[in-house]
Amino acid sequence: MFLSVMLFLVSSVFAGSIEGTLLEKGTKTPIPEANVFILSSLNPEALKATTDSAGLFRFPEVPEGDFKFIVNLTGYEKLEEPDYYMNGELRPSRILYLPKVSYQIYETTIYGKEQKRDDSTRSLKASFAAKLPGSNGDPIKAVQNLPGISRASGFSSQVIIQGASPQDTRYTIDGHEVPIIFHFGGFSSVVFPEALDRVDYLSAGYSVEYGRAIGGLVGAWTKKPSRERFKGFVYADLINAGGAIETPVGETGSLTLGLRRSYIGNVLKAVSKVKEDSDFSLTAAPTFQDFTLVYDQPLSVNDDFKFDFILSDDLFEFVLKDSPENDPKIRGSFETRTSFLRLIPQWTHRHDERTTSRLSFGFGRDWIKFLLNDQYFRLSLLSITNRYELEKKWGEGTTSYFGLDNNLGWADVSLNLPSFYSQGGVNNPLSTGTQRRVDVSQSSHKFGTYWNNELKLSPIWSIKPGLRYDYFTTNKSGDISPRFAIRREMTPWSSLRLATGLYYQPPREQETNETIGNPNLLTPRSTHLALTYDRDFREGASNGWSFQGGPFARYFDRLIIPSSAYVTKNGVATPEYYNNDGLGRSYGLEALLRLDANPWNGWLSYTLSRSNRKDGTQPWFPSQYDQTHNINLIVGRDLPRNWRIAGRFRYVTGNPLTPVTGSVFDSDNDAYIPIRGPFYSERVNAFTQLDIRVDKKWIYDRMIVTAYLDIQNATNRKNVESVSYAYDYSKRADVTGLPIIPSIGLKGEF
Amino acid sequence: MKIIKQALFFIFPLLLSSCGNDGLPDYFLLDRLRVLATTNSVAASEFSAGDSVTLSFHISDPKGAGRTLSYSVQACVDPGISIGLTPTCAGNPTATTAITGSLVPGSAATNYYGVLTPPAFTVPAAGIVFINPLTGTARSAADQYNGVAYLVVMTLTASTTESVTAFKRIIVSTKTTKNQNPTFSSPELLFAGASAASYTLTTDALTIAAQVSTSSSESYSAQNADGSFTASTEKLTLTWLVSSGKMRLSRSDLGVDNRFTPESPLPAVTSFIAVLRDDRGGSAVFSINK
Repeated sequence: MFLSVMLFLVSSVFAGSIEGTLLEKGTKTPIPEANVFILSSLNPEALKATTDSAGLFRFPEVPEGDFKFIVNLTGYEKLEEPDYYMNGELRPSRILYLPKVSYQIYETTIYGKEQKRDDSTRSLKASFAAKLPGSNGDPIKAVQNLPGISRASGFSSQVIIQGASPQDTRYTIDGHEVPIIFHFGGFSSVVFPEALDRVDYLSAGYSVEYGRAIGGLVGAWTKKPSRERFKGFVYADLINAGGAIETPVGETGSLTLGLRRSYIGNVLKAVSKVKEDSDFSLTAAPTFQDFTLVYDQPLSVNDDFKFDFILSDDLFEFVLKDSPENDPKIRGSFETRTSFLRLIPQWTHRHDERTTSRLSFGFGRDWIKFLLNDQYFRLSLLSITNRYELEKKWGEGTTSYFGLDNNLGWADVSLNLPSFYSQGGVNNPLSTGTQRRVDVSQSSHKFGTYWNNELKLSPIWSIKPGLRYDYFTTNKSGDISPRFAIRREMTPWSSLRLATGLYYQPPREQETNETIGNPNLLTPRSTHLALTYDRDFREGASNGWSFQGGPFARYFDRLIIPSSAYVTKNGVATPEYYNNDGLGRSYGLEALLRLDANPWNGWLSYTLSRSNRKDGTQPWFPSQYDQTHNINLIVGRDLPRNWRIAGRFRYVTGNPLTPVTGSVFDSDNDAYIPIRGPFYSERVNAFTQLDIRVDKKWIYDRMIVTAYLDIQNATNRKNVESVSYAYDYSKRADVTGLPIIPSIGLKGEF
Repeated sequence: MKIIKQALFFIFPLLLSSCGNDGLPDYFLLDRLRVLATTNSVAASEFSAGDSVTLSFHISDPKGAGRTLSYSVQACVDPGISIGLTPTCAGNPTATTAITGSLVPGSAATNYYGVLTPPAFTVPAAGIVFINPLTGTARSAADQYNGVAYLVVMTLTASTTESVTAFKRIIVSTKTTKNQNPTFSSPELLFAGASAASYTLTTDALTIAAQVSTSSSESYSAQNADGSFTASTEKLTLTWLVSSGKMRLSRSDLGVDNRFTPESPLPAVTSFIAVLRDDRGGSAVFSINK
């Protein structure tokens, strides 16, 4: 009895403190505000501690002996970790790693309306988009799953918006224009996916903050780097390999750094060597590489600074010993290189609670080289883009924005190429064009300013009137674009929005060039109208259905088309090359039905549309990407043990095709010139494709290993992308798209 | 800036499509009614306004069994083929009256390869040929120096459903030194390194090459739109045509050997035709039956 009493007293006397940190298993993210319990067989009453913001916990008096840490938190598996305490121990503080229930969480993808200024914007969260089947981990490529996006060919990942042309889409990174958004062949976008926060897609009726695109805009937005801790990952798949780190810098800064390089070209190069006698040989593997740096530094309570540095490089060289049968000039050594860099400093200053300024610049260089034997195109461009916006909240529901959106460019262009004539999607052989040589240094400046307003007229009605002015030095044209949107909240979970506006897009530099273009071109223009109905059937719940959709219509005029007319300039006959005689119209209905119901999730996007063009006196004809039906069905399911499986099925009406009805032999150039039938009066077969993606994560205390298998065109369907012709156009053959492409990747996050 | 997108978009399909066997006919194979080349009767291939020019159209009709073909030839000032206009003289105010006739191409020769030589054409005077027929205004000084095309368009008809049309540009310029046609040198073709004439064809594949006179590739100057001049040298190319078997290359640069794989069993006669072209409208044709 005495001994028992003494032992109790001693154990009480020798009780000591234990400190520790509660971290999420794998990600090592501190878990704040969590209760940690200690349960001991000697002490029937559980001890409790609560973690602070850094996940730290402390038990001041722990009795000596065996015990268990217990953590039971929503969204995490229950942790029961045996431990012991011995008086006078010098053990380091404990680290508890709490595993999440699932690491394959299907995240919310479409941003809430409170996060969007422009209701016409659809946003894809990058971390989610990267997991979509068929996009090979690329969030920008995943935009093609949204309604209103026409399917580009299998060799490209252009984003074609609501019946416009590919060149009518602008691409931006943090609001600043970049020359390309996808690397060669559309395998991957030019920004490191993990550095992205979201991808915005602006369609019909987009507001005045952006312009210079009659189709729409795809904007990639970089993520503010996390200050949690130093972390990073490396990965490799069949196409490329890379790695990134994310780390705090100094007291308040943070940095993301990513580097990536492809080796798909080395595979192609090896394949091309297999056939010794091949007429095609790669001299340099097609490679792409990019570097992304994002640095964030709060300067004061009211000032934030962010800085991006993007570097992208694509190189492809090959030798083609024998030319395509219908164009003898395409033969010999090819080299194409596209490189660009952008430095994008961004500064946000909050003047007061109601006034905010945002200033950013994009300092860039573009280098573009295209060589075909002694034919060449070289471009070196220095560009400075600038955006400034002053946001003023006048009162509850009333906000004004005044902004500048400028793009200054100085280019050195050197060109020695034959004139290239293409109509109805059928090209004349390069061999039959007239050789043109141009060496020119030219500037091309685009100035834009806008004034946008959000006015909440009542609890259910709000309007957004805006005005934009653009001036383009290439054709010395100033254009005013009024735009207007009205929104009605039908219920707390549904709304209706009507948006309309005028949109201008400057002619391309070569189109207004004095020597090879027409400097008198007008600015192409389009008028948009879109009605959108939103309905969230979840009504506040986390699981359920949501819908967004409605009709859209666009009318295009002053479209620039190739001209085969001569005009008299300075008393001499000069080719006109281009004129503004093109017209276009597109209209349709688009719908996005989404299901978020863990573990099932997915969406169905459908676009019914018609897109027509008219060239001069020609009758109306379908546009090159007129796709009547475009269906994307994505279904995914989270499985136990951190597995996830997802599939995408696509059905798209076949693209229109211009038949060739005959040809004429050009005996000087040894090539046949096609005679075109009615433009786009035939169609290739419908496109269908099934993509499958499987993800598996292995969670370790201090790292996560992810493996994925992304199979594009899982059924190996031979979809017709275009046609190739016999040398005399008497016969044609289908050119099919990409075959089954399985991509296996491994990623280690630490 | 967007030109590069177009270029990339263009190259990649080309790369893939050029690798496959698409079942389309081979350019080198003479298997249908074709115009193979057009040459002229003098050394020069570039002329002055008012010159007289005699053209020869080289025609192959291997499956025609010696049938009679009718032809129609018309000439006019080029309205602008290189910028997309259809190569025709129809509706052109400078068009000549069509010359019509008939021929049996190479009726006496194997594989029905023959030459059609219509009557000579007279290039119009400078006041016509150097005026754009569509605008009625003068061509630029650079155009006149570099050469304006006087088109000769020929349509060859075998039946109501079978016809071919070809055209030749007679280059008319103000240049004092005119372009000359390239020429083969003897022996014109080498089969496996030996003269084609003395080579005995078997079913074995062989290397095939052409010999060209050294003066064929000329240096010249081209006037730019700003009035400056750029010096250039002609690049010669060879087109290979054969009545049976397989040529590795349908066209090749000068100095690049080609490879021919005969048909097996070897036909009684195999016709080889090589067309030599400079890149300014000059050309020469050599043919041999083996």
